[in-house]
Amino acid sequence: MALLAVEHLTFAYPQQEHTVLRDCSFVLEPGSFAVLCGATGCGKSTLLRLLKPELSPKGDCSGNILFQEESPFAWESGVSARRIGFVMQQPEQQIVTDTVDAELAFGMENLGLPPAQIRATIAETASYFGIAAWGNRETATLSGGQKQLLNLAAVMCMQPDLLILDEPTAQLDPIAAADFLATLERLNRDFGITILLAEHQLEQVLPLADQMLVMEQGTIAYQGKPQVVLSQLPNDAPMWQAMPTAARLAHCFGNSKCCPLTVREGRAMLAAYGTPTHLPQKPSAPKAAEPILAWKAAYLRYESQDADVLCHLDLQVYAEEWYCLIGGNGAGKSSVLLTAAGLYPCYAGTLTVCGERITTRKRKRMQAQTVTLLPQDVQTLFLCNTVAEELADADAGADLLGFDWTPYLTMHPYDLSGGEQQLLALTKVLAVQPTILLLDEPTKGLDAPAKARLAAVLHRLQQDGMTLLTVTHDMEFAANHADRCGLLYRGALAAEGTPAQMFSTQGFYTTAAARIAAGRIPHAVTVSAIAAAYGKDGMP
Amino acid sequence: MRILPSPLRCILRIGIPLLACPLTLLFAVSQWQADRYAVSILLMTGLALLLFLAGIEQRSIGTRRMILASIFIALAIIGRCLPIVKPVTALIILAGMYLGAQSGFLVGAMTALLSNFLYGQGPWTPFQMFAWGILGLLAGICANPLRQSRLLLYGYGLLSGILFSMMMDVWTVLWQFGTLSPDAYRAALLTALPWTLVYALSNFGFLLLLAKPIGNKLARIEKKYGL
Amino acid sequence: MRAYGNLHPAVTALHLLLIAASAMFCSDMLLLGTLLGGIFTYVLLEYRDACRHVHMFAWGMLLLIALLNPLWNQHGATPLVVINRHVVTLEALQYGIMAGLRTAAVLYACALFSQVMTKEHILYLMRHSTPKLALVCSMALRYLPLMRRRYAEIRQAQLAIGKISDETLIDRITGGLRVFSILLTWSLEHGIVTANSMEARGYGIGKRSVAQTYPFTCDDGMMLGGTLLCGGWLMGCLLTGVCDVTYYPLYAAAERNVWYYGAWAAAGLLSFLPILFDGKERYRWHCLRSNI
Repeated sequence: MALLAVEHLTFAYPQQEHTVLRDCSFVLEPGSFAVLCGATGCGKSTLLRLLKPELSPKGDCSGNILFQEESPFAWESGVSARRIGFVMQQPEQQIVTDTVDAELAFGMENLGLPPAQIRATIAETASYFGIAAWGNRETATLSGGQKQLLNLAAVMCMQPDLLILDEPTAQLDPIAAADFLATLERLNRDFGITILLAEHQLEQVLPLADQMLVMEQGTIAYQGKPQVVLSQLPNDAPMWQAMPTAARLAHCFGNSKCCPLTVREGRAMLAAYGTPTHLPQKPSAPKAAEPILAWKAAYLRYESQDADVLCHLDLQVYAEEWYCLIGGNGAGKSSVLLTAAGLYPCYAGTLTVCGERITTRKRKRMQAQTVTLLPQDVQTLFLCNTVAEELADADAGADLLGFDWTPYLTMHPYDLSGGEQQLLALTKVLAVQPTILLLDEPTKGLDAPAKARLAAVLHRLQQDGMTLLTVTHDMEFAANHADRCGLLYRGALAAEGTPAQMFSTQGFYTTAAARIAAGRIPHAVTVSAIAAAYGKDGMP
Repeated sequence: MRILPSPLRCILRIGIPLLACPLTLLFAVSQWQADRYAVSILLMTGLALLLFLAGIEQRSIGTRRMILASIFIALAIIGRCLPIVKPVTALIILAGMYLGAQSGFLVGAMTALLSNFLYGQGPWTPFQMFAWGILGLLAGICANPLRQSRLLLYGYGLLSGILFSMMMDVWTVLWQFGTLSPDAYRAALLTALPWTLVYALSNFGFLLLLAKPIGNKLARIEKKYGL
Repeated sequence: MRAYGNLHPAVTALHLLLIAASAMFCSDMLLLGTLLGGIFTYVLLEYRDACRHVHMFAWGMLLLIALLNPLWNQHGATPLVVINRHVVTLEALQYGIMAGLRTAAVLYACALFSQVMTKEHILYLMRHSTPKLALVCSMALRYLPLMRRRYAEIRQAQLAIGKISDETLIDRITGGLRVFSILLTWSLEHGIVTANSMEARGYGIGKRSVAQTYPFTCDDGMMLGGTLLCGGWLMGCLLTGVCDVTYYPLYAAAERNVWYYGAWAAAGLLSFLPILFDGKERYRWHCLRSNI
């Protein structure tokens, strides 16, 4: 018996002619781990919300949703809250109470369970998730990954039969995302809990899944085992951009028989192809040019008692290049940007911007003219009620980025998709016409097409003479687009070079493509470079 | 309580505390010595607070409204950290005006209670809770005219600054002198005059600055998600 | 050793409330002095640093009230001095001292309350009496650090794109408003996510239960018994007028009879209970350690 069966589900929001979901049908067997993917705006979130009666949006709905052959909408109140768990994207906003224990208890308290039972469940759940030591910690002191783990644990305390997750790792860094997904896999394996996960970045998720649902324009276009779906997916499907590196590689090779998903399978596939025919040339050392931003033995700390955040940093960014800084959490990446933007002065060493040494007094006015920062969370920039007002507030022409804002002018900035918000924020940031643009995690939460569009916009800015300094966790983005990369470790530069140099010498902290090619094709760090080595086309 | 029509229920919910308190006061005054005014006033406010809060506790305010109320409480507590001019009363008035009388009282009372954990609890806490709560409640009761006329809203802001000062001065005088002599009260009002002016003007100023953006933002939330 | 602070929150709350209430009902200087003395000693012993600002305030208020009352209040029959046709009477001075002692006692009780009753204690009590308000408070308390951090983030982002500056006062005010407005939008929009998350976990379907408990121990029982006994006795004496003092027009102290001394003993015991309790606990630990 299927755990969940969705039959011919059609849905439209009230007063809108456009139907969001058209004739969606799929079946989830108990114990399956299903991944739902599709372009932004294809109706993923609407579909997931319709499965959870408490969250289901109002509108015209037809078709059936059957949960073990019963309709969740006919259940008594409280049953669906318990049996269907729902984890959303924003780690911070889902937390309700101020301490970890109270948060874990929240759901069970709502169900009116007896206190002794609640405490027992909290104890065992917290122990299983390894968060027992957090106990009475305030939820505000947790990191993003820890918050999301707490959200998962809080939902699991209610012992649901089905766990629905709506892009749970979009706001997390790759390490935290991997931890989170590993926990999900453990839950699925240890308890046979059914998982339905919507995600737009499939690199880490797809190897865990045993079922894949691809949505296109409001309907489930493909479903089945991931390998099967990948072999069915047409060559020009935009979804390919989101697939794991190994799968994309196989796709470039035109190999539809074997479908590698992991780096291990990818390496096996390359081994089967033998030695590459067109070995890439050894990358030349980057040309030294006029440095436009230069830190020399720079030190930064936020409070006089604190430890140094930047510790003897020597870094030069050349004019009109795209420089990417990578590194783990707490390496000081964002602090580099803050000093460059003039928000904090280095207490020792020098910072030179456009050939002028920055002194504390001169800092503000000069840097505001030439350097500008796109913050990690672009919603910190949105002030107004409509996009049109935002553009007016920025004194920015609507066509600054070559993006047509006309259909969006009356919308609220928060109603835009993540990628559109990023572009709107970029428009606001560029209004001061800077020569240096700093970007803090610009690809966080973006799906593959939005990333590609952002990269295109940034390349155009670079051609027009702008210097870009990006801080990112997204190594693939860095490898594909940067002119030079630097690895930051404990406030100082540990390695530097072109992406090909950097990522091919680094064994752990590198792109999936570089790990697949390691030892076989020197200096290939992207899918297209590997494909080129075998004489194939780059990206389809 | 279910059977009663809603306006009657509303009147009861607000009226009973307001009636019960003067009665307590009368009782206290007739029973005790004159120098126990302070205690009886404190008792009265405590009782009124309990009755009001019990009324809110009984009624479902809805998840969204509750979240919005807690956001306003947090904003007001943070606003109390500002030097001299504080947006606390303005925020409480806006909360009452847009979220309803009950939530207005809730925001006012809880702001006083929680922020006093940072600024020091004292015998004045119940009184402060009550004063701010009443200002929020009144704003909620007069929500319609206040929403329609900006001038009225600013006027209410000015007035509530004066009212707040007057209410707290009753307390100061009672606590210090045991009785509410007109002389002492006048003197207390006079000494507090600069503060009263600051309260009234900062209420006015913050309402002038905040009423429109907060109104717009809440209107959007109301339209998009429903309250 | 803060054994008193680790008691069941309801017991501590009742104890401190009884002290504050009896101080408010009391008009006798000796009883008030005793109450103040007990609680002041305990604060000095255990929370001297945490209550640093309270000392100044409480003793300052005591002085202020004691001096102001004779200046304002013209009741009383025994003139001391005449300033500017204004008679300063002995009775008014006595009343002022009494009112000052009362204020100081209540202030110290409140200060101790703030120290002993942490956020968790208060929320625990509220969860059991008014669960909905407790949830509102819990959410508001969660928003505080969140909003502080968010405010800093927004300010940084706006400074970086040169939309605000902090050079002049006007700049700072307009900048602050801009940041506040962005913070407000963000809080309201994301509040809806929180509401969804609450409803998804079944909030609002019926009566909630409370998971958090504090064990009620033998120590709590002893403390509660002592509090009820002393507090009840003291309040009874105060309300029946055994210890009433008349100040105007002539000062007339309460009659020193058995009842009065009983009330005095109860006040002393009530206010020194925390010290006795901590002492008992210290002794217990001392014994335990010497046995090892």
